Amino acid sequence: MRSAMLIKVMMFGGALFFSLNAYAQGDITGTVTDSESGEELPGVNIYISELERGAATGLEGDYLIEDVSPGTYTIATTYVGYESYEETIEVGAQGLVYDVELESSVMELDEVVVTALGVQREERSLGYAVQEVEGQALEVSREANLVDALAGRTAGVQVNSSGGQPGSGSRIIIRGNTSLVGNNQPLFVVDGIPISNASDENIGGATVHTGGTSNRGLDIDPSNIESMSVLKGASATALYGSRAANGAVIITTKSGELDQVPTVSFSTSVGWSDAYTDGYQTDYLGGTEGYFYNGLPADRGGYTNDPEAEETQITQSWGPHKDAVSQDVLDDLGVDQIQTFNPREAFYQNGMNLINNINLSGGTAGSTYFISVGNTNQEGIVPGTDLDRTNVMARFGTDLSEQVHVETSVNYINSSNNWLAEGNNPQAYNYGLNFSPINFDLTPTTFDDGSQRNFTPSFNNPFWLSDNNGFSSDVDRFISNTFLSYDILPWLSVSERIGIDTYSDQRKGRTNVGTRGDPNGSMYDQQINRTEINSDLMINANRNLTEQVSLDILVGNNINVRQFDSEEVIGTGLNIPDFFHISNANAINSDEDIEERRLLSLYSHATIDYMDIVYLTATARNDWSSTLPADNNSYFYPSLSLGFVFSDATDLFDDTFFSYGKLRASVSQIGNDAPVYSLTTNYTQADPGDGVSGEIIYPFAGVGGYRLNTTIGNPDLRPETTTEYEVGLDLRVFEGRGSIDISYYDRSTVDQIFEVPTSSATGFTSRLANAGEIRNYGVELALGVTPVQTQDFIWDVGVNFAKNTTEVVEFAPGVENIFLGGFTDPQIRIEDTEGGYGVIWGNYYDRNEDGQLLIGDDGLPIVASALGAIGNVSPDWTGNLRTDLSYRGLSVSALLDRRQGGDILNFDKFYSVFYGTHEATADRGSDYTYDGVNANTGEPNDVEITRDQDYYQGHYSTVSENLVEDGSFLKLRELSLSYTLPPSLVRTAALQSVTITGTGRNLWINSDFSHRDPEGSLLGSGNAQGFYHAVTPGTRSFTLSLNVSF
Amino acid sequence: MNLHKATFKIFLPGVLFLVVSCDGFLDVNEDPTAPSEVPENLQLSALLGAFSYEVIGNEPARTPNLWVQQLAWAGFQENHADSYYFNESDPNNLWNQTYTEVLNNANQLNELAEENENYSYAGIAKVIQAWSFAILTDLFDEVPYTEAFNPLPEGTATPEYDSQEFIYNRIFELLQSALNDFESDDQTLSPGTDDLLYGGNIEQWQRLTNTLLARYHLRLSNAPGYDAEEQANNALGALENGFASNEDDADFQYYDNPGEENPWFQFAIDGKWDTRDQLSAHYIGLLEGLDDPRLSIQARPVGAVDNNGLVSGFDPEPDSIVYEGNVNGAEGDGASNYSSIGAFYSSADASLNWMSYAEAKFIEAEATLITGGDAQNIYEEGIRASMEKLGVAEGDIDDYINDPLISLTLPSASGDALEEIITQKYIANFLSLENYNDWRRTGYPELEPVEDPYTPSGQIPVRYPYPTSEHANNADNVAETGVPLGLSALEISVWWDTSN
Repeated sequence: MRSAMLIKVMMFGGALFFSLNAYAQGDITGTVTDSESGEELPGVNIYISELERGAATGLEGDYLIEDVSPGTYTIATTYVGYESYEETIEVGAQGLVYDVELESSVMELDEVVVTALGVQREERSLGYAVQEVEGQALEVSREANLVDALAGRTAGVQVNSSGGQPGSGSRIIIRGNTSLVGNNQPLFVVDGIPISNASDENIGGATVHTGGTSNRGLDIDPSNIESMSVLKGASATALYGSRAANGAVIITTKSGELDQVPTVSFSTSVGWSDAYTDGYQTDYLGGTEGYFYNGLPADRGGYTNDPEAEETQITQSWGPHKDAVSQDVLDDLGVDQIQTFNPREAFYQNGMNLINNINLSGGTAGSTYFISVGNTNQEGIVPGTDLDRTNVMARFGTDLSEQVHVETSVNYINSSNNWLAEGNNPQAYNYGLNFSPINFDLTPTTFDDGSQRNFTPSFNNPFWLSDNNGFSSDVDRFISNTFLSYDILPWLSVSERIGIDTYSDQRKGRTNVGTRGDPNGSMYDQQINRTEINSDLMINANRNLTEQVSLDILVGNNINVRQFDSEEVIGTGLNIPDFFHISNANAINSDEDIEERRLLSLYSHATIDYMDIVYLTATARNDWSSTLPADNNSYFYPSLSLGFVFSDATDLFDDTFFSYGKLRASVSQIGNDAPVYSLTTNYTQADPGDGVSGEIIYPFAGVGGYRLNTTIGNPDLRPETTTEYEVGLDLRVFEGRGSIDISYYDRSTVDQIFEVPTSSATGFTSRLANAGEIRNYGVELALGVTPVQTQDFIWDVGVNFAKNTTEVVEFAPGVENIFLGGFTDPQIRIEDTEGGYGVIWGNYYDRNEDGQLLIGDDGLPIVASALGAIGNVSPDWTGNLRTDLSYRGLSVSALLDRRQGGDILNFDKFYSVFYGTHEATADRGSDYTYDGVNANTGEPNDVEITRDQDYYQGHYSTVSENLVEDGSFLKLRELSLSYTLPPSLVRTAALQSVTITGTGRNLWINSDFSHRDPEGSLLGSGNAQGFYHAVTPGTRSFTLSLNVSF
Repeated sequence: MNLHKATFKIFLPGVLFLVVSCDGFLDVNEDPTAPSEVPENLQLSALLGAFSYEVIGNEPARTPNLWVQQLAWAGFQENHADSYYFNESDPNNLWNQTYTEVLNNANQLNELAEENENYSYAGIAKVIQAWSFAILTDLFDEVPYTEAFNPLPEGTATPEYDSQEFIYNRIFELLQSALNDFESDDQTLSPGTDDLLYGGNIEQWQRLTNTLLARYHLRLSNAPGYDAEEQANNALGALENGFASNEDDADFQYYDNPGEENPWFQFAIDGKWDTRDQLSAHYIGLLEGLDDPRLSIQARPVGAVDNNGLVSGFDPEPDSIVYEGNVNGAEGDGASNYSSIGAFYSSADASLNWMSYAEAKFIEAEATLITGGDAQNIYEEGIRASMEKLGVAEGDIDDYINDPLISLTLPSASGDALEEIITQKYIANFLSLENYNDWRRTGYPELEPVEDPYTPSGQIPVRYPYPTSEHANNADNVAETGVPLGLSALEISVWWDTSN
């Protein structure tokens, strides 16, 4: 490490005095100042490890450590925002005056970052982009899901939260979608070992019918994170191999420090959240054609004033305006006016979030320790939903000898989660809620006889669902990691890191008797076990070849085993209501899924460093995978990268404002293996179904049965190959007060393995094949400015910007598109075009060559006879702006997050327009003339139409084009204010520090989207984003936290 | 130090793990949950269950019986098949399931059984193949046959379409070949309980096969280049070895257990999906006009089913029982206002009839009529078989047949006689796809299109559109058929249908 500390030390006495004057006692005193300004620094820690005690400086920067026996000591000086300094001192019988000048670390240019395999490298040596996120920032966000906490903090990392229920999954992608249908999310690595961020499917039904599930990154407690590195490109992740082809998120957890006094930190926070409920009309009552209906069955208080309806109920919101109800109706009902409700405000509650964490950290001369216990308890905005997570972590490190160092960490996590079904299903609470007329009081939820009460027999009352149905998950997870290193020679070491990540998830699904759509009730129990074992054995050599040239070589072996097992018991037809034990089911069906895959690898990494100016790095990795054909399961991939610190290469930049400049360039390849069990075509238990709700379960009538899979295996699969080129420039000016980091990348993946849909007349709906090429290219920009920096006042501004283009270069012959999600019409799919990932597909209006609507003689636009592209869910660009102001102990920070473009297929609108609850229908009855030309005459259209119930139900809602909305947003993602009490004040209470923080999340959102927050996605963290339907809306939240350490 | 000991305990297994031999380490890619080989009996049970639930009891029975107005939709008509809004996405499931879960497995079973010389299995597989292809071609006209079931890398991902005439010839071949297979009695494995239709009774399979032959010969009575009389004679020849009584009926039994229930129960009664597929006013009017005792068996009283499913405790006084259907294409206002499908057909444990003796008699009656013979007795036997099956009392049957007011005596004019036969066949074949085939072939029963039809010409659809999956994955070949995208596809008749 380059260090330019300026130390002024005055020493008395020497080593020999140690034994002679052992009886004498002296004091150590001195002052600590800023090396640049000379200002005295208060609150600096001075610590003598041998004595396990120390002191802190007062307001004048002075300190006193009393009664120190003469001898040799290690004295460490640490202060936030400054480089730590450690030195060996000799204390004589008279004590010692020891002054220290600390150098501010803000300007430090040679930062060390954690790269692949946990290897720490100087940032200046890298030939690729890495972005770091401080653990502090994640903690302040107070998001339960780590992935959500990352939103808006880096360039080119897109985070999408699937909805507002506790534990709901969040998706993260880096530099666009690399894989057509495979996983596109980055690899998560904690302290050097990969962990699972899987979203285990809900066996209660397809995602489109039940909603997404949690991503298991949820289990990581942000409070335990020291820092995160986001490795974006293939060069950065090449050593991790195929699993990091989509980037990697490298998490380093907190640890104790050598010679650190035992420190206890305690944090507690309480948060409140509340739902965005925009998008619904609040004026028109239940009914049809202006007649009032109250929705209840005729024999249970049902009322209708439609003379032809007899006693039949209509459950739509096409009734009269609430202020224009006819006197006859009011007289019939004996009221002055019809009482109205806001169903969403009635249903959504204030969410509550309690987070507590306590940890103990410290260290001795050769060992460190960190022990943490934390709990996150979240009650959702949807009644009956919650998340309760407990994290226990212990981390130790010690030197067993001069040469041998060992570190180990153990994490235990329990996450338990209750949530409700979302999605395209009358059993989703969103149906009964969002299509409910404003005259209907959702409570009580039952009639006197105990049967469910709702405004329609088709959907369920959301409160009833909350009381009766739901899903639960109880995860016990254990992540452990041990690292052993042995320094054979000063320049040669060998190390081994072995880790295990294993969890069991006990899930339960409850559908009570009396549920509309499943009147007899059903349930399931599921036990998921997922385990990953990972071992890396590495030999590292680091030698100076000449005075100018040094060489750093790493050779390693990786063994990786991943197992998944799920045992399921599904019971249908419940005898006793509200009793969800499998013995209560009339029919029981069970199943088990198993997956196992193994990977062996050899890899190597070599960096040549010429005068700390030019760094040339080459990596190579060969994988042997269990999922590829045995005779063709080996694949090799190399990378080459260059880091050139040109500002240090010439004298040109000396004495200019231009303090640092680096050029990066890299080219790399990553291979990827196949999904498990994809080489053969097997049989599966027969499961006749009608594609909707009906099914036959085998064994049928006591007879078993098997059918062929509908996907044909392929014994000739080859590995996929990703190739990426990246260039970048890192410039810093005015001693680092300003910085610009820009990257351009171009990544192509060929031979993509996926299920190619085929004509089912082949006997199979798809076959696995190497088919298709996808290319992502784009620019990432990170700007940083520190406009003001004085001893007391710092103002930082950071801007990130990213623009990515996904080009689907080609598909296999015969493939024209790939279905990602939704329905036949509308759907989200992949087309082989530029920007073809995430195309929204459906019916649309015909237009002429000039793009004008073609209007029929009836004044309505003509719907094209074919389906076509009507939008694209991929954003045009993303960006964020962060600003931090701090004055002494007070700091304010704001994070603005912007997404430009990226359409949303709002399928809720299809229903809510039909039912007359969508805000667009509030203009009902108004006249409108479409802007377009008559299809027959070519003349401008002048036929006026009335936007009435028939128009909205029969025309507007049936054209998918009308359901596509702009998903652009500008969010105040975070606003926080924190105050750290002055050290002098705190010390009198025997505390080290006290900080109070208030954090607001998503307090303000600007968008044109009906429901304001366009981030929801029914299909969870899957590849089909932008499908908004029956999901829990986004929330705004405020959290108050207190951090104390002593 | 204690800490170090603990560290080593955690660390040790890791080191041991490393030195484990790597032989066979990567050999874990065989799916432990899916067998690679399955014997004939376990394939047969799956095949019959899939064919019954996904084909006979599914889409081909649902939408066409809206169009021939036995059923009607009692909800909003917006974009509904009852008003002839039936686009490319609607037959996706039928097409995909029939080709993959039914035909591909029948193909597989046939090959395995022939290889093992277990010919009864091969014969049954061929019957299912022939029957499935008949259903596909009757609804879609040209469909892939020659190039089907031969995927890449050897074959093609985009099979060409074959003409309906070609496919009918293959159907006859398959059924003949099945009859040959059924003759074989030297086999190591014979169907038993795995034969969910006949419990291993191969003679009944033979009679079913012959009855199917008769059905398909008669199907081509008006096909271009085919002679009605010759087809009728072929049908009569096959029927000599066809169904001999109601005992031979191909009835697939379902059970009142979750996951074993009758497809009509799951589709239209139990409330799992929707209960508004109910009887049509046209059909109830027809039965009421004939004072037909089958009305109370084929229809449930109004109020027995509401939008949530069966109404518990529904037990009306006999004189307050009402049967009512919705007018096809008219907005209905929910299930509770109309009659749902009768319990005989739609209780959870009702059997699903694939083909009946009554139908055999009506085929015989029509063929006899065509060949100039006296069909009256055969026709009456058909009515009697249908009523006996439904449990109508003998006296009531006699009254019905002999009631001069109804006049079931076949008139001499052949056109009118055909109408009588097909009308009675239509009642006997309640909920069968054959109603739609007979209507297209003969024009009976005469039907009025719905009030606000979606078809461009306003007529009742005469075919299915090709599914979106074929337009997406076999676009060139589906384009070759000349059937366009959009609802105008519904107006292009199939090859054998020369009357529309």
